[in-house]
Amino acid sequence: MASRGYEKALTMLRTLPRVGIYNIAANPGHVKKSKRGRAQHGGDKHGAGNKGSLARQNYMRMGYETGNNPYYLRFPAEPYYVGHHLRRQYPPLSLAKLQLMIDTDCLDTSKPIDLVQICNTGYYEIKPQSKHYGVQLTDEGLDNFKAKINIEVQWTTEPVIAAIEKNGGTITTAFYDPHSLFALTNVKKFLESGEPIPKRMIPPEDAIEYYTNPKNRGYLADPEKISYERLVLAQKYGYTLPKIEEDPDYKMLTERKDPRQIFFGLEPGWIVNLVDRIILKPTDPELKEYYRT
Amino acid sequence: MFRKLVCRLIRPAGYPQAVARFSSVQETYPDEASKASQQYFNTPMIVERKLEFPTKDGRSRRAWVENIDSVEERKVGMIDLHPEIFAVQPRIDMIWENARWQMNYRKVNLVQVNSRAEMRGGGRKPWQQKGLGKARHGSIRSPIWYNGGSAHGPRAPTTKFYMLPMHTRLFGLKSMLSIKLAQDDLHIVNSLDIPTNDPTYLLDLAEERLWGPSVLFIDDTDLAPENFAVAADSIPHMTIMPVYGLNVFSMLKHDTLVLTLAAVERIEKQMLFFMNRADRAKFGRKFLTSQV
Amino acid sequence: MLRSLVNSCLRVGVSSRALQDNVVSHGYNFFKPQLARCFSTVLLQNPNGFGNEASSLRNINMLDNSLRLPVLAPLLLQQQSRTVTKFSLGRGKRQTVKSVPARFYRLDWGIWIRRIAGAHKKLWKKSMKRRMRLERHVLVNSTRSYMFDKMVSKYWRTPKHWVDDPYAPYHKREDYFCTRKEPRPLPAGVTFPLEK
Repeated sequence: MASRGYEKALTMLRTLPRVGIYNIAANPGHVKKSKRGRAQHGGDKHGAGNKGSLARQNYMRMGYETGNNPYYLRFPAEPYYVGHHLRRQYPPLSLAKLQLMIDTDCLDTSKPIDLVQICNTGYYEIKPQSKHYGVQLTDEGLDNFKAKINIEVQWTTEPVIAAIEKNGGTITTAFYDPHSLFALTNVKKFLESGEPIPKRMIPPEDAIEYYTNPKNRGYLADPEKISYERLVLAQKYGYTLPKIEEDPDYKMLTERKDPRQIFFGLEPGWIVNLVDRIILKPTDPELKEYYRT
Repeated sequence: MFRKLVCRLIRPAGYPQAVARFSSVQETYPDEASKASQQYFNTPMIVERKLEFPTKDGRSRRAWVENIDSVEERKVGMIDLHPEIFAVQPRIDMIWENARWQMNYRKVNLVQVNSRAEMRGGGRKPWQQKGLGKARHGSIRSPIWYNGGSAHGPRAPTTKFYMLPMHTRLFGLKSMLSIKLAQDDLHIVNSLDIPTNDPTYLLDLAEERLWGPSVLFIDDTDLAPENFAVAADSIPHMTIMPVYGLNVFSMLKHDTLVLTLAAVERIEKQMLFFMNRADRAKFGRKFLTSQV
Repeated sequence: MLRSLVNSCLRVGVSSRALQDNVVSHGYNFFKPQLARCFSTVLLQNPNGFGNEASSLRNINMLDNSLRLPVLAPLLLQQQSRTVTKFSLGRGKRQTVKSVPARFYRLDWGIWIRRIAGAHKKLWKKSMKRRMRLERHVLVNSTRSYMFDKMVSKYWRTPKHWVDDPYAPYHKREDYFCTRKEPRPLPAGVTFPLEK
């Protein structure tokens, strides 16, 4: 193998004097001499020229064009941002990036993949406070997607579903309300707060259609209809649907959360004590009923 | 440097002299080391140290493990060092950044110079506005006056505190460790148990082994063996630190760096963890003292 | 639908062979998701099923983008203050000039787009070709775009990841080599690692 850069550098250092406090320096140009605001260069008029509104700090409001109809008022209004404060956002995650995460052992394909696992890789982030409602799986890198996974996302399209099912995997679209998302995206912080695990809310009216549709593999859809749709999609895209019930990972691939569940293995109403390593479950029948419904 | 050369020439012929302190591809080291051991001393050998998180191409650096219980050097074994910590491209600029940060972040400037309001006097208008042919003034302590107040002077207390990003600090440590290993200034000892608490023991040891006058000892814990603590205490140019005290400035200041085996394990584990954290995003953001 | 779900909840592990044979004979791929914990009664509570609810609510679409001026008229009729507030009285925050997002749309690469003036006016006397030209959205000058960026707060400058956004393809400029950000995908058949 050819000598690498670091090898050359370290070999060179063997013949050079000992590196000490007296012979180290910053990269050239890193240390800039600060220009004091005094005298001719850097000072005097401080970049404001002679007289005028700029020098006298008497500015006109931004966009003002000395009385004529300003540019930002000339054009007709357009409902670009109508309802922006209500619209849900789903930051995209491409199939290429997902494949890369799997190839570099950031994601464990032997277990179901959740929003928690995707955020824990460190290569993807969700900000629930910015109206982000989860992960959207996009079709970029669809042709090279080779992994068999059980993945749960919040939004996706038909070609993506096809790509995942072609490889023998399963995909579900599930809705999480913002409170659940705060818990999901920072699990440790949430559990340390000592709050009981909340129950996941059902989707709002404009999202129910999406999540009850078997075509989207919605978590509220009929599983038998989903089976049918899997076959339909296989025929549409022209691949043989792998027999999932004969797969040794069948149990893992068909693992799903309850509609009210946020974390795998934990039910709403439970309090997880990380210090004492115990879980506290509600005993009051009223509470139990509340968390069950 | 010259002494080192001379001493090398005087060494007996059979001595394993051609052993470089580091190598990228060496298959015969364990045999050579064991041969040396069997030849001269019948002590148990540390033949290899399996890296917990090896690199994909399997490369590693090797270094001798020495003893400290006698003044004369005795090789006790040879271990593998992680190349991503002990053989990185040495970034002198990162080292400079670290040194500059260490020197400055603690500084608090307590100097304060009076402004025109704080100067004694200067409340009265010195002379009337018009009629005298003199320049118009409002106060004898205005900044344009001799002995007047300072307009933009130092106002105490001002800190020079800033946090260097985590990865810059890691880079500095990695670079420094690599440089120390490359320049033969890194020595690994099995422990810090010395037979006496006499400071001359350590001085003789350093003299014999050609360790630079200043030596930095890094141990795993912050409790040193008694003999060593007493001996090193009276020597100002020999410092002992626990692993969490390892820093770029100290490594630059001290000529030789001596690590214990336990310290090497700890350093590697800790640094590799920080280099490969999944939540590295939060360390890339600006450091806010209000959200520590 | 619900009965099968309840069945799947109560069943432990493998489904009955009879049912499986029935489904297999129809050519369906028998895929029964095993709910990790089927403790809630969410799906049981609504006997008509969620699908029916959706159909009845389909007419009430809160995000109907076909609504135009009637929604915006109140905004324009209000007494407007068009100065850029750099530090608000209450919170010390920067405030947006609402006229800008009312008329312009920001693409993630920094440019704003707008409608052409007169696109809604006197269309009866304009030729078809002219109307089509007026329908188009147009880029705003880079100087003006820079000014708009200063007139709005950070929220308007962050990318919005809306699904079914008609302007989604325009937020990236991968077609021009000067403006590419993502590495090009590998040619077909080439995979990582590239060299041994």
